[in-house]
Amino acid sequence: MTHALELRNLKKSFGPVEIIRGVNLDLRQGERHALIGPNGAGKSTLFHLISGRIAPTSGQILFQGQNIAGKPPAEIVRAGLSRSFQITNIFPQMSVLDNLRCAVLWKLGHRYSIFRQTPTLPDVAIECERLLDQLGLTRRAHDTADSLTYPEQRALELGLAVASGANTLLLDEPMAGMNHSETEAALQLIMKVTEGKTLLMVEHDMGVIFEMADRISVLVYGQIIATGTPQEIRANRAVQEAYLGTSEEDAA
Amino acid sequence: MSVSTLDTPAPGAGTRLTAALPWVAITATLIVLPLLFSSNSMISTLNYLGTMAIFALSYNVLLGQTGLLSLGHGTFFGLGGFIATHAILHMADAGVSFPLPLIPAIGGFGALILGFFGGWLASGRGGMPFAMITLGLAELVYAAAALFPSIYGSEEGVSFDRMDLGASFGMDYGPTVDIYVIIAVWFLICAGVLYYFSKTPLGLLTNAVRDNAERIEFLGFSARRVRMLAYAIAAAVAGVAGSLAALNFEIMTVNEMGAATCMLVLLMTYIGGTKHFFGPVLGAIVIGLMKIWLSDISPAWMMYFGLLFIFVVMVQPAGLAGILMDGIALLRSGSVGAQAPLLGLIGLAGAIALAGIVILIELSYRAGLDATLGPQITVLGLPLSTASVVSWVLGLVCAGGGVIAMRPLLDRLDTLRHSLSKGETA
Amino acid sequence: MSAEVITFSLLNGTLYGMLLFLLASGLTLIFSMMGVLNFAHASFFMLGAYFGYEISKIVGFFPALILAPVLVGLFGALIERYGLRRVHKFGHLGELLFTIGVAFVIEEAIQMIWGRSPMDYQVPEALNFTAFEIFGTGYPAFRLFMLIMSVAIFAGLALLLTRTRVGLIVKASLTHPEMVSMLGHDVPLVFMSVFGVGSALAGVAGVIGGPILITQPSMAAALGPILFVIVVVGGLGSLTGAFIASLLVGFIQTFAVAIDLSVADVFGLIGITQPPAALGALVSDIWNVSVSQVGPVIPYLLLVVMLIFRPMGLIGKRA
Repeated sequence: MTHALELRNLKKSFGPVEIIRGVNLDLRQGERHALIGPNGAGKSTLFHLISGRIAPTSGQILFQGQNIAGKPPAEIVRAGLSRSFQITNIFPQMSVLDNLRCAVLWKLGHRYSIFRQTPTLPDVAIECERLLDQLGLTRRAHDTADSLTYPEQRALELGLAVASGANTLLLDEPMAGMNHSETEAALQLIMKVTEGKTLLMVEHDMGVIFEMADRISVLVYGQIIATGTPQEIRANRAVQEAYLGTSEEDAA
Repeated sequence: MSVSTLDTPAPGAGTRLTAALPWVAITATLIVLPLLFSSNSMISTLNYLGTMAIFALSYNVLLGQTGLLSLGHGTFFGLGGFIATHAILHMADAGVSFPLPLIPAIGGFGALILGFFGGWLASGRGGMPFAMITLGLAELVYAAAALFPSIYGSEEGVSFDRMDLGASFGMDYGPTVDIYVIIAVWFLICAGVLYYFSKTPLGLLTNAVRDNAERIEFLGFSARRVRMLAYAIAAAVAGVAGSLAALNFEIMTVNEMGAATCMLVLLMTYIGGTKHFFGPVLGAIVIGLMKIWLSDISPAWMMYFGLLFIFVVMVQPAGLAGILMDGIALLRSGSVGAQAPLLGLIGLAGAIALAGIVILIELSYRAGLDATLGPQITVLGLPLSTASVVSWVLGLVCAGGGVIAMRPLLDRLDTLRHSLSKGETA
Repeated sequence: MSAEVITFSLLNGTLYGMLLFLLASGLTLIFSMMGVLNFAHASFFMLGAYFGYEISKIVGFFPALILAPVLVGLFGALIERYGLRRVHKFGHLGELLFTIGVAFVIEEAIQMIWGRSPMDYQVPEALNFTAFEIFGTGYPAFRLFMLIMSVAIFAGLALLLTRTRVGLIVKASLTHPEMVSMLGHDVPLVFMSVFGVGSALAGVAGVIGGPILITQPSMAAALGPILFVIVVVGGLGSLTGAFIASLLVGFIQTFAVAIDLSVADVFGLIGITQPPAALGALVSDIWNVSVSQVGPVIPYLLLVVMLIFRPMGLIGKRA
């Protein structure tokens, strides 16, 4: 069966500097795949390439078998591939509820409509209520997004990515800036909302990764140096040298 | 606009009634106003305020709702007016009679088409590029208008007789109050349509584009399409306003499309308040009245606009409506009594500062621009003179003292506003 | 179009272009710093002209050439320190609106102090002679002086930015203010200075441009939009782009005025002297349009076309 996502010899240069230097990666349907690598390896750039924020210099990005390389983000989202951002990218002056309403509009078919009143649309209301409940933000529904606490904002950030109904999700360091208990709660939330979906996640926290990932890919200097199960990656010499260092003690 | 979408719960009979109340009140006010202010000049003033209110509401679709600063919105006001004017002239020439109240629909429709075109050109980006394109387009149209005197008139503009299309709806459109009726009805229509629009999915998307145009792309929408649609809608309503202005004055000149008109609508909308739906209306009324009254009393009226604008930009970006809503929030919180000393002090310091500024400005205008009128001048009831040091010192001390006193008081007010908003949501 | 007209148009076009560049360079520097176009920049130009006029009445033109820009620069620095800085927290829109307000108030204030009529700002006696003659017509020395001044200032600015330590700090602060601040430099002071110097540049342009372009309260409003065309067409943030665009606009406006050709003339070449009356008044309007009338429109056409097809401008880094 086709892979959910396949990157073939993907390259990206900014002027003379080559950031992504020939990445090959495949994401199987329904798997939870973690992307790790040192800072500056190009993880965010890779996400920008896949989600359509920037266009590759060469190479292919196949989503469900279709090449989406260089397509605009809106088109990619509509095809079923959605992402969250490492730096929270919500709609700060709007209420939490309105944030989610924006996210569900497309999949519910309401598009650029000027003929109905959003609060009166029953399908929107039901879907948003479900999302608020899942994200644990029900009692904050009418508060402005920028008044939320940091973990709540990250939950909303996740919610925006999930609400679009995409079956493949790219999550860029969803646990960034959280302490241990917040990370634990966030992980549970992610596992819950991505049930049955395909997930590619950038993360630094090894504990999280080893708990949730089916497979891991390691990105170093713009190239994937290893892909495999957590055990395989742990044992991989090249990975140890390049990145994990004293991971044996950390992950224990 | 985020305020209106925030506090609308699911509709039921009771809430529908409370939602309709403001509109009933406004309609009632519109009916009563010409009865209270029945002289011709007062009704003329009301007509002017009405067209400006519609114009400002249309501008806020761009500024407050979609976060777009257009520096050329006057273009559509003017174009709508010219379309209406030429429609009337052509129909009158052809001997057709047509209900005059429907003319703004023609002007608005024409502006809508032109708005789609302009929007297609301007909507690629937001922020600075958008402002620049709208500026360029406005200058382009204005400069080009000089080349087509048959459309835009030259110095004298294009005039017409609004009675030429015959009577309808029981009016012959000679008296000013007939035009008032047309403007009042169109105001209700435009305000109603724009309010409805703000709560549609597209209205929600415009807020989203304002807040984070990038993210909306990652939710499947084209920010460019949203901007373009908002631009066209704003243009259409501005065209209606321009048509109404044409009906009111029976003449249209290129100045209605010029930089002054573009600046005026920005001033009105921003000072009135971009964050609440009726803010622009408030701004149009206040600035419109200031324009009409002050321009008779003082040569400095434009200067006062500019200073008021700067004041709003620096101190209260939510404008007069914001100040009003803050006041209401304070009343609701029940802590007016406790805050009375602070508010009293602010009022006092503000009044002194204002008096000082007015004195200085009036003296300066008399000393400079109007020197030929002589040094004696009555300012705020005080007999002052540009030749007298005392007058200048008085102005300086009041202005300086008031401003210095205001700084810490305004900081305290800011803290109060902050804690009030926190208190609301807790 | 004779060789004489072409030569003079070239000279005047270059002159006008350099003057525009003097203004555009200050605007570009300030934009690089604030990320927002300073709408009051043309107003500082106007202040320079008026201050130059007043001061030269008292102590002569050449002292005014130094004093007036200094005054304008100080005024600009104060605006930055006590106004712009306060609205920084309201984002780019707030800053933009603030500068719009400042431009508005300055224009009113000038009318308040000096009235609405043009000022009799004369070319100084020392420079009121013919520098050289071409085709039998003299070229005024003052214009040559303007040209030399503009080039000298531009050269000085370029040297300052590329060769001195101050220039290095300024350039670094424009892109990485936090880092520069960490290195111990007073970044707010840098910002205030850049704004002050940029305003002073506009002031200088006003002092030397005042006698040639008419010194009146509407001069800022007339020049302002052209200035934005230049910085956008050249590419926001690029001094080289502003240079090219300034010359381009300078030439376009000068040549357009010089060309006395109308649509009617073109059709006259092939023997048609009157537009068919049946096509109506609109066509006869177009018939009478001449290139010199279209002149004011061309820069804006250029702006719109550029923004659609190449929004980053000729040499821009960001759009």
